[in-house]
Amino acid sequence: MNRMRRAATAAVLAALVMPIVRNHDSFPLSTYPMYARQRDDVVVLPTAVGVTADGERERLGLDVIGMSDDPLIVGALLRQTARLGEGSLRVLCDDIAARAANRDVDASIIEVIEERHDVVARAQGHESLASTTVLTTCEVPST
Amino acid sequence: MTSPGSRSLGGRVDRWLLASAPAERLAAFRILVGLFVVIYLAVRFPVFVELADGRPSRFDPVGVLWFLDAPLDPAVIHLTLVMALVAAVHVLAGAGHRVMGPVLAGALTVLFTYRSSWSQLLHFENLVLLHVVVVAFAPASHRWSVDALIRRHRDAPPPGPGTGTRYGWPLRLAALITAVTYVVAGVAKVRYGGWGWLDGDTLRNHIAYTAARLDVFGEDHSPIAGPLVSLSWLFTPLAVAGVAIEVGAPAALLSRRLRNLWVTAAVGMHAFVAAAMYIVFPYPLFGVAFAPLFALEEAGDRISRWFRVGTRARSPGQMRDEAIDDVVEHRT
Repeated sequence: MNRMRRAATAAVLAALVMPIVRNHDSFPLSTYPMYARQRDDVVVLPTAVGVTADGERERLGLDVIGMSDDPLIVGALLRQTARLGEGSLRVLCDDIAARAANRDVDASIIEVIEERHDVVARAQGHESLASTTVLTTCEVPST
Repeated sequence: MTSPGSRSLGGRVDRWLLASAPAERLAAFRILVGLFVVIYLAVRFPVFVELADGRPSRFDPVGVLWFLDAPLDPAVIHLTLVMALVAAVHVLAGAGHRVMGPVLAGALTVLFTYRSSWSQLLHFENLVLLHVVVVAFAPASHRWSVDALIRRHRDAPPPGPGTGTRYGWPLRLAALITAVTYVVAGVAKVRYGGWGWLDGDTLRNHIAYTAARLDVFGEDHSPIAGPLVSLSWLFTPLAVAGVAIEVGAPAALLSRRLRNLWVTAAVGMHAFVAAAMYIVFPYPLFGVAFAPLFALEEAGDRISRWFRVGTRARSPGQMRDEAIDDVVEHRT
């Protein structure tokens, strides 16, 4: 029995180390790369905003943008959709617009955008926005 | 293979790995893991329900679900979620553990893997799943469980002595999994970030990035992120300490003092991440990840005495086991 326990222990340890050896992240065996990669202080952040009738841009919240309370998941949704191209961005924009309408968000247009920020300056409360790129827009349906 | 009595390093590792432990210690670990999973699934229930609504274009299966070419039917997701919750309650109570343990391990494997199969691997659930698998296939319901109560009610003989390697080894395996997981995370910092990770700039930028990301989504970020980012001198020691804690995890296996020191540091690290970045790893933050490093039964005994059920209802068989244990412990 102890021989089996030793063998099982060795197998489990090998499995835990294997992702690092193979450089392959998966689940539940992982390289645990959280916060490991180099990150510059100037970054592009994808998001979506509502534009009011007065032309003001309003932040929408995680739930409206990506139906999640996790910024990691919503960020991944936006990045991946942007990679898929204009068609996918339009579909996502319409989804966001429908959720905004359901939640009575004060906006007539939704913009899916990328903002370029100096994040260290922003965290310190300084002006940080370097540029904004509009990826797609769509109208918020009237309810 | 090294004999357990050997004084070599291999012998000492062997003795550590195959150390005896009381059944109550493993039972206490089962209760903690079961309680965590029940609460986690209950709190995150809507998140798992919404997995059924994911767009097929984003589906990117990983792990044991690698073979899927399309998202699972929503009914399968909902059924798996309910099955996991029911099995977790059973594991918590130690009811039908031999069946419900593996059912929980299987259901959680599918559920958690599926959650990471949407183009974004999440790292909150890895360790809890690995510990669930250990508990699921261990004799973790021999004490402090519905199974034990039923056996006692039927006056059935206990399932062997109340202490042994069969209770100790799963705990040592779980402790090893915790330690190795942290080492891998520490190695990743240097592997992916390079030695430059230790100068602290990347850590500072990650904290600033998470705050800015919440901002652009219209959410509040941590109020300490801004002041913290201003203290640029702090980040080199923080980065070095973070990697040292992760790579130094095996030290927790060497002695009680080192264990206490390391666990305090690791919980502190997770508390810092939660406070500065609003990113919560609940399993280690609430200490469950480190539970197999401790003599949990001592706390359990205190709770038992508190409820005055500790010595009242022992069967003759259980008293005989305890007497044998006392003799064995005395001789060794």
